Amino acid sequence: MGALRKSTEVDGLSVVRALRHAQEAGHDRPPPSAPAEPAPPSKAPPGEGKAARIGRTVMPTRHEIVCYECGYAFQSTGHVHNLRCSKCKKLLDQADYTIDTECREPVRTTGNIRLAASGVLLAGALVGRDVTLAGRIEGGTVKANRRLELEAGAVFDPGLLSAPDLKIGCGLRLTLKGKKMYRHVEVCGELDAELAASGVVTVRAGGHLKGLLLGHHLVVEEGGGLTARIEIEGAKEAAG
Amino acid sequence: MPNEQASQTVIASDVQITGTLKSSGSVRLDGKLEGDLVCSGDVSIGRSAVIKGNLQVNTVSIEGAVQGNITAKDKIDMKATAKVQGDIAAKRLSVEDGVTFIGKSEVNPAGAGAPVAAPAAAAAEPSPKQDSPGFFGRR
Repeated sequence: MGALRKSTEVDGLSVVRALRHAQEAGHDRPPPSAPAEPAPPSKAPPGEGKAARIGRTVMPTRHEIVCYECGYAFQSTGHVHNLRCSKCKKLLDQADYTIDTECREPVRTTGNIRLAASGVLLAGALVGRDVTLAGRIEGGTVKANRRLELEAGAVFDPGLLSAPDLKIGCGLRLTLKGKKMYRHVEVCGELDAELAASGVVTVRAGGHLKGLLLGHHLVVEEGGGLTARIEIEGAKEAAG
Repeated sequence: MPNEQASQTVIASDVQITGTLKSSGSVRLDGKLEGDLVCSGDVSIGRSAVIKGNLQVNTVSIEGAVQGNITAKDKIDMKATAKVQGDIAAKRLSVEDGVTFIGKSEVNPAGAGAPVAAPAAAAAEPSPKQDSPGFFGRR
């Protein structure tokens, strides 16, 4: 799988843990033989020692993870090195992947996947959290557990794509047949579809939505086009 | 003597009008209107306003309830408290989150010119290969 490149990320909780570990191990103090260096001005009150202090607590980021083995959705806090599904206990890949050549093997991760403009999916399944398509899909399927973003220049069969959230990139003109259900939809290009959305449908400036829209939340920026049959009932109206 | 500055008509929240309202200036409506509103200027529909009729305006900002069709030469601006039941047509549109809107919309800021279609767009819908047997089909 030479076409894949991994990305790395470090979150704040890992940095805090590493710093505390260094303090406990005494790595933050200079060796006794080294000449004393002038201490930088410290904000700590005098008499409290010269060790580094952690004055602020970093709140770890919570991620919603969907296991690509069993489909179980759970939350993970911070960055866990060996992430296992809470249900099936399978070890999950967390890397982000970028595909910029031909790919015949399945790519499954809890991270993000990007099919670059030069990338071609010939077979296999792409399963990731956020999936961005700018290349060609000549075989296989694409499943995004959170958002699917389609960019101009992408070639695909819409029937092979699935995701709760959809974003139509600028310059892309897409027609979907049949009634489609999504959570959030963002239109920056042109979308002609019969949509039922449980979340927010956003038409950006330069975007154009056609067809039919059923939902509870609609936002149209100035410069956005809307040529459709609309049934938007605010969430409060729908509840009562 | 023609007015150089267009005046604004204000209809307070305790006013109820039955009939057609026509104005060449701008109108701010906070009351109830049962009838059409024809205004070549800008219209502002307040939060307490209720309109049962059609609107023909230059621009309109809606915070209240409108039951009827809205045709604007320039812009329709729906604020978060707007409730619109009817068809709308304008050059420009902006909608805030929280709007209740049931009807058809004909807003195309690009006008007659269609947006540039990416070459992949034609391939986005797989079209089945067909021979063209001619008008009478195959025998």
